[in-house]
Amino acid sequence: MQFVTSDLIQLLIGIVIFVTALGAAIFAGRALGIFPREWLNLHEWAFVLKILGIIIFALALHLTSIATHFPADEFIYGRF
Amino acid sequence: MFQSTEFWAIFLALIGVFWLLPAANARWRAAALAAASLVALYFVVGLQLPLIIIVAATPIWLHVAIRLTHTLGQRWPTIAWAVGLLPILVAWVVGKEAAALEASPLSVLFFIGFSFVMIKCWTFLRDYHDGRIGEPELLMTAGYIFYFPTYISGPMHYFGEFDDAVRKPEKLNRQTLVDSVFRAMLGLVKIQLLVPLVMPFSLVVFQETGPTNPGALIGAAFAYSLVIWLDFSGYCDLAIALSRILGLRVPENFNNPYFASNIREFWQRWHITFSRVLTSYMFIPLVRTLQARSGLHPRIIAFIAYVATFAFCGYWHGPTLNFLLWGLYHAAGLIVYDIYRSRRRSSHAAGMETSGASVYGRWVRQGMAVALTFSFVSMGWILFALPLSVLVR
Repeated sequence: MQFVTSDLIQLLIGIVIFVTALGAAIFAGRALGIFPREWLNLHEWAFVLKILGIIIFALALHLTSIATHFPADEFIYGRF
Repeated sequence: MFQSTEFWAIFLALIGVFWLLPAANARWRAAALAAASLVALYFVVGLQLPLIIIVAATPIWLHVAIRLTHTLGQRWPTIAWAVGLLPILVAWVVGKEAAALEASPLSVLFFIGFSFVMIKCWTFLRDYHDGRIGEPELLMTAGYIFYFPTYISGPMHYFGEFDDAVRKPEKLNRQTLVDSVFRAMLGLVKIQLLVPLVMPFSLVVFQETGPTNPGALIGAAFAYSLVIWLDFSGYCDLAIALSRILGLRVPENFNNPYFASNIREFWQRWHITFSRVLTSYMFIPLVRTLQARSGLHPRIIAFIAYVATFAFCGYWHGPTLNFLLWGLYHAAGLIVYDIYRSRRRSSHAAGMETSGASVYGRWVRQGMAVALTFSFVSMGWILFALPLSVLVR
């Protein structure tokens, strides 16, 4: 049961990251408009959000066991 | 490869050496890239010493070949190109066939990255004999052939692009660094987190046992579409991002391929650097040759060129029959799309089709075209991912 729960949590984390990254890629220009301009300009917001993204990605890679245990070298497109 | 400590140690050392070397001295930068790449191929990719020697000998052979065939190439560039490529092509085919038969010591020639090396040699020799590149420097050629961030999965840059990138490296500023690290992390997330999440639902689970029923097979094919895109584009994200940190621009390999509205557009968006090689170095020369010598109808010529090009594309991906069938499946798709497109043009010319569809209608049509193309490509992955022995069981 613990295994299933952990799998589901990881699946949810994966979905959230995927949807966030996809959404950010598609709506990046429009989404940046919601951040207050009096603090930072659009360019600076994009910069800060990318740093935040790097931290989130690093945490996701470090904390999810599925990522730390996956033998990615066994599945590479170029392995032919 | 990108998961190993050795990789990052070599990469960080390379950044230091690469940026310490004077920008004006491209030869030394190329030498640093070549040396670091050979070390990475041994310690990270895991190529054994005999294979490292074969890879290391490749640029030397290319330079010997262009010297030997220089005069011949001025008159018959295609023959000169073929002479230079022949030993590499033979080794590549022998390795593939030996691996497919699983019985020969020659299967060691089926080593990781050789298919990419072969394409690099092909385009290098062709570009030299067609005059697209000047007299290359050996160290630059070595750096080009071995360049380890793109060694396993591409993108496949041309020699001219690599030479330009090393001679005119881009400056690394705060913005470029953050963009590159972000992209590299996104690539790692795709490879290490998203691929293993989707993989259990994909065709990979049927590789040993075969599909349980057609519905499961179709669902798994759609999931595999995601898996293969995430994995392949993830490696390319890493290769492009790390290259940018070194100041080297590497061409993009993907442009939202699953949003393509037809199969021709799909191949302009998927594995772009390989598609452009197939188009410029195989499809177009074949069409021109057949046009000049065969007297066949242009459409028949195009069909022959599609079949030949995609049969090669399939074989390049794997030596077994399922890969060949995958290539021919795409050739058939392109042929059908060409017929459809020319009929549609004829209808437009004859004024039989109304072009005044509403915006909503156009959106629906576009959406259906994207869904149809995605479904066609996804079903094709069944042939790509599963051996025929498993499929016909």
